[in-house]
Order: sequence, then C-alpha cells, then structure tokens
Amino acid sequence: MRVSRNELIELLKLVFESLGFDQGDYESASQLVTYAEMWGLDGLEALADALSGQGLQQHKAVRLIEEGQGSAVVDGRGLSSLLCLRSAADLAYVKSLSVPVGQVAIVGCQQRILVLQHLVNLGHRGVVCGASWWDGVDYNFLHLLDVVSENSDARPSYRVYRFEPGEVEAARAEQLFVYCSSSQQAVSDYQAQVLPALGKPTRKIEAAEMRANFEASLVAGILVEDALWFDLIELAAKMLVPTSIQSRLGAGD
Amino acid sequence: MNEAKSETAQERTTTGLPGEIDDIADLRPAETVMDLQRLGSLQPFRLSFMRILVRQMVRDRWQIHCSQFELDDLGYGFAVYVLQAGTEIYSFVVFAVYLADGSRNDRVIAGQWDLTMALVQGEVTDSQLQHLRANVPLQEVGRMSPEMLVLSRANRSKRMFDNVVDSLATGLQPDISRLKDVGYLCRTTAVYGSGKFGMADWGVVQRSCRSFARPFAAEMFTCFMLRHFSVEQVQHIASHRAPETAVALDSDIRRYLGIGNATGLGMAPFLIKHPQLIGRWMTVREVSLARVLARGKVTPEILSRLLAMIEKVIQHTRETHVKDPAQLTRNYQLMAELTNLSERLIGHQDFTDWQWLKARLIERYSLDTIETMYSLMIELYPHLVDDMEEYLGADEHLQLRPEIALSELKRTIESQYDWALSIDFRKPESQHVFWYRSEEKMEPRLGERYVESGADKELPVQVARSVKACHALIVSDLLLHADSDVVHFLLRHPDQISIVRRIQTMTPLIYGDIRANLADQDMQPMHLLRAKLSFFGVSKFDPKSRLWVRNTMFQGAPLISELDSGRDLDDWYFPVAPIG
Repeated sequence: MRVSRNELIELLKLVFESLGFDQGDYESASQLVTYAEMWGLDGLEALADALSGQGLQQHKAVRLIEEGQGSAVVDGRGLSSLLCLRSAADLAYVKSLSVPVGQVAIVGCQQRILVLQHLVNLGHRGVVCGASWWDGVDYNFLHLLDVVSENSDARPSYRVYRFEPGEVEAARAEQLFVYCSSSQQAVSDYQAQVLPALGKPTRKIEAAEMRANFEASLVAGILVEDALWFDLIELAAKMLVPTSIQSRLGAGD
Repeated sequence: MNEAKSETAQERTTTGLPGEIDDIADLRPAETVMDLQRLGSLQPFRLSFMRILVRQMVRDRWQIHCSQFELDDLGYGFAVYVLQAGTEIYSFVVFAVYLADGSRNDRVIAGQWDLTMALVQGEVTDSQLQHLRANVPLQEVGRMSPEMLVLSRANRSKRMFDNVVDSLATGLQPDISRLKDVGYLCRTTAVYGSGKFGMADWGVVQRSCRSFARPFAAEMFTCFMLRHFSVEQVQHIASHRAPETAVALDSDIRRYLGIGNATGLGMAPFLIKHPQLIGRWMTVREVSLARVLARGKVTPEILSRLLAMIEKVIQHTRETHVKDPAQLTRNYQLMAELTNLSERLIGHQDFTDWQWLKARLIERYSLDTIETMYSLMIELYPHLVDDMEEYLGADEHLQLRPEIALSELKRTIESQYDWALSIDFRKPESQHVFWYRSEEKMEPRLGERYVESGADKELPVQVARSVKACHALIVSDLLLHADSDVVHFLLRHPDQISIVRRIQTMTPLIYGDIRANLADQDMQPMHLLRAKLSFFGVSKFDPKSRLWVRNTMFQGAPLISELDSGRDLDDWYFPVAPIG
C-alpha cells in the first residue's frame, strides 16, 4: 500500500514511543526511517531489520569513550542507528567548528544507512558532510554517503565500493564514521586521506536520482508492504488508551 | 494577565518573517499575546483563513459548476462540483445517504454520517469516482489516494434541515427567528487533510496546489462547498416533494446560512505540536495590529465605520445562542462593554489616534472586548494588513544549536521561559490532568491523573514541565561540567534532546509557545480551541461542555453565484440575520 510521508512519520512516532523511546528519539527515529525510504535507501528494510534485532530493546545511553579537538569516538553499545546516533552527528558538526573537518566514529552501531537524514539535516544548516562504513562477509564493501549543501538545500548521494579480501584494511564491523566541514574541498581532502583508492562503485545513486526518488515518494506516496504496515499499526496501538466510560467523559460526553 | 503591566517587556529578537517586515519593538510582548486566557478571547479577523479564502475566490474569479447531481427525490445520492481556479482544476465530491435520527452523532468516534465528501485534484474520472464511492463514506476506515486533498463528513441539523425543507415545499421562506437559533443546515464533525489516510501530503499541496497553498485553505474550501451543497440539497428535496408549490431560498437567507462545526480536543495538541506555525499566526495578527496602531489614521469616516461595526458585533453577539453559563456571561459582558465604549467614543475629543483607544481599552475593559476591538481595528485598514496573508505558513523544523554553551542555554531558559520555571509542579493540582490518545479513532482526550489509568501514555504537551525539568538538570550538570556545550550535555542526557531542540528553535522567535501549564486542574481547554478557531474565522462560539464547542463557518459569506459579480463582498465579518 502507499502511504503519505506525514502518515508514516506519525505512525512511526507511536511505534517508537511504544518501544520505549524518549520523545526526542521517537521524533528523530520516525524521520530517519521515513526519509531514508523516500531518498531511495530502503529505510523500511532497515526498520524491519531493527525491529527483528536487539538494537531497539537495549534502551541505554551511548558513551563518549575518546575525544580530541577535532574528533571523537562514541560507543554505540550495539544499538540501532535509530538510537545511537542521537548526538553523534551534532558532535561532528561542533568539532568541525574548530578544525577543517570534524569527525566522530561510532563503534557498535546497527542499520547505519539510517544516518542519512542526520546528514541531510546538517546539510540544511549549510554544512558539507558525509558518512562511511564497511561491511561484507566474502568481500569488503565500503559505503559512502555524501551531502553537499547549496543555498540551504541538502543534496545527498550514495556509493558502494567492493574490495577483495585482504585488498584493504577495513574498519571494524559496526563502526560508522561521520564527518563535517564548512568546505567541500576540505571534505574531499579528508576522504582522499582516510579512504583507500576508489575504483568504480558497485552501486551508485547520484544526487539527482535521490532527489527524484524523494519527489516521487512525496507525490505518489511511500510504498509499504501490507504486512509491515499492519505490524506497525499493532505496535502503535500500544500507545492508545483503552475505551472506558471515564475516557469518554474525557472527550466531552 | 494585565496587558498594561507587560507592555515594556520586549525580550525576543525576531518575528521570523522574511526580511523583517516590521519593527518588532511595536509588537505586544509574548507574555501578553501567548497567555492562555487571552488566546481564549480571540475573535476572527480579516486575516482569518475563511476570510482570506473568500477574498481569493473573488479576486481570482474562481468558477464553480456542478458536473453531476445524482440525488433521488429524498436527496440521497451523490454530486460532483468542479472548481476552475486559474489554470488549476479541482473536484468536490459529496455522497448523501439515509441516516436514522438516532444514529446521528457529532463526535469524532461516530461511524455513520448524512454526508461524506472529498476534495480532489483535477476532474474525477469514472474509476476515481468508484474509488471515492467505496472509500469516502468509510472516512477513517477507508483508504484514500494521493490526488485527494481533503476528507470530511457532516450531519444534518435536525432542527433546521427538515424545517427549511417543509417551508420551501409549501412555498414559504423559513422563519428567520429559527434561523438565528441555528444558522446552518449541516454540521461538519471532522475535516482531514495533510496526508491523512493516504491523501496528498501537505508538502505536495503547498507546492503543487497554488490555490490551496495556505494553511487549511483546502479544508476551508471543502466546508464552503458543503455549505453550497446543503442549500442545493434542501431545495432539491423540497422541489421534488412539492413541484407545484416549492420555492427556492431567498439569496439573503442563503447567504446567512453557514456550516455548523463541532470541534473537540483534537485541536488542542495541534497548537502545542506546531509552535512555529502558531507563532507565525500570532505574529501576523500582531504585526497587523501594530501597523494599525502606528499608521491607521482616525478620521470622522473611520470613527463612523467603527461605531457601525461595534453595533454589528453587538447584534451578532445577541443572535449567538449559547447555554453555557460562563460563555453567556462573557457574551453579556461583551455587549455591555461595547455599548458603553460606543457611547464614550461618540464625539470624544481625545480620540484622535488608536494608541489613545488602546490605553482606554487596557485600562477599563475585559479581554473579550479588547481583542474584539483589535479585530475591528484591523478590519478598518485593508491596505495596511492584507499583504500579511502571504505569511501565515511556516517552515516547521525544530533545530538544535549543539555548539552553544550550556550556561548560555541555562540563561536563555531563565529569561525566556521564566513563566514555566515559576510553576510548582510538586503541587498535585499542577499535575491534575493528562492528555492522551484514545483507542477510539486516536481521539485526544483529557484524563484525571490521580483517578484514571493511562497516564503512562501521556501526550507530550507539557512544555512547561519539560522546560523546568530540563533547567533543573542543566543546573546540576553545570556543577560537574561548567564549560560544557549543549551537545555534550545531550550525550549525557539524551532524553533532553526534544525539549532543548524546541527551546533553541523557539527562543529567537517572538511568539510560539503557549504560556500555560496544560496539566493544571484549572486549565481551560476551551481557550485552546477558541484560539485556533479564531484563525479559522468561525463565529457563534457555543461551548457544549468544558471540552467541545459548536460554531458556525462561512455564515454571511458570498454565494458561489456572486463570486465573479465584481462587487466588494468582503463585509461578512460578525454576520447578522437578514431582516425577515
């Protein structure tokens, strides 16, 4: 079925609230999922993955385990990005105010694709930013999200590169790097410095295509599997108060 | 709230309007404007959404015609009206079914209605009509499509509908005195937009539907069309019942008939959830008032018009039938004070500018009279205020400023949210009620915290309590982390992100957060409803309990047939009954 952006965000707020998220978290998480889906990055698949895993049940604070002038390391404690990225992107932004590129590494972080809307929000502030992470079993895959900011408009793009085993030294699994700058050149220099030589991407979604995905979802609605939708409605229903004579009085009867 | 006492305070920095349209020094302070009791005294004014919509329809010469009118002799069936607004086309589709008198329920939890309707982008095709027929009558249970902008339903006014049909069928016009009691044939009980149930997202409407790009414009238009259809329906039934004798409604009576509306608590959380939008609406009203106070010239002609308007408001209020004792007292006081004010104004030598009148109002009159007079003053100067209708929408995005020093955030809270910090939440009465969503159509309701279950599912509408808790946490956090910035505070206290984001977004704006404890035992939800409804432009505010209200929409507004008449049709504020 197709649902509107507003409809999905409002339902997801209730879903995450029913899972014990704080207000700030459920407001944010509902947008991370919805917008990732609208940009064309399978936000709902990441949500289904999160719902079936452990990253949502462990509702605990992330820890700042290392911090320098321009960088920091955060322990995400195995949580989903829906919870453990909370302030990490903002921290990278704050770091970027004192160095050319601010960087935060989040260790132990699930569904990392959901970082996208955090980056887009930074892009709306005029910040150039990106994120990278590794995954894969037989091969090492490097995922790159870039957000270019132009006149307060954020233009995200996504690339995935494949490397042979042993070809590069991949970062630890479940680690996510978020970086920010006021300068596009500084971000390019930073990427050239920390990333391996990149060949042809195995998957690439250009900014124009992502924008087109977003617009199409906005106009035609977001496609949601019926089964997932009804699962979400069931979860959301936990936040509704059962009917009673007293509750009807509370509506003015 | 004493308005005079707070006139000097002007702490905030921006209206948030593009290009800083006006000097904010002339605006009333937030502690005056955002006070809940004052919000509960607001009256519709010329920048209310219905007024703007009608001006737009007249200015842009909207063409509306009926393309299908498939009603049986008893008025059941469907109708389709096509709107041509410039290059844009929309369809209003309405379904009418039989409903037993005992099944009629105005509450949102109802499952059957006399009328269900939708506003759709473009001309409806046969397959679309089929889809609408299958889903629109189901309302919340149905599934809508992205071409739909609005979904709504309405019930007949039992008192009026049959009476008007009977009168017309016998060749008579309805009794004016009975019309004064009700003022409409049908009453809408819910109007949905903004992407609900699969309809077009507000982001799409705002960008792709120029005619309805202002907040609630599509919803208001749907009610306007409902008003038109309700008249056509009674005339149709009367003419089929008695073809030989039936007559059509006089145009004065048609104009006087509006649409009834029943509104409950659903509107209240909206005001809390959309502080930037509400702040913008208040800013538009206050900038308009400030312009009139500063630039509106008081001439003999203006005074004469003002006196006539006051007389009209008195008559309108006299014709507003309410049973709620508190509202009744307020209406009587308003009429008495306006009569007194009118007598004082006639020939008063000192009344040469609006500041003089404002000072007298603050000194001697109730909030209802003050805010009514401000609505009238704004009405007098279209050339000073009408451009503000472009600024009623807001880009709603709460934004964190993570780099700010935590000590600065603490100071900000202390200066801007002093009203919240002054509330003692340890008192049981300060936490007496809680807001929640019922499983019945997710209807927002109020519960008593110490009596009812459900407080664990409380809606997050208690801004004041959250601000105060956040402030206390910041104070203790600063003892250990004196040089902290906001982002590090949030890493230590992630549960504070939402309220910090709100505080930092709202602080630079002059208006936004309603200054009240919405959990207090004495809190009046009706004030919230009235505030929002005044921006819609409703009249005949008639509280039916502490928690819901009936009112009238589009009463006195021009008819579809008059939209392209070239006449000035913008005089339908505070409508009064035609002379019978």
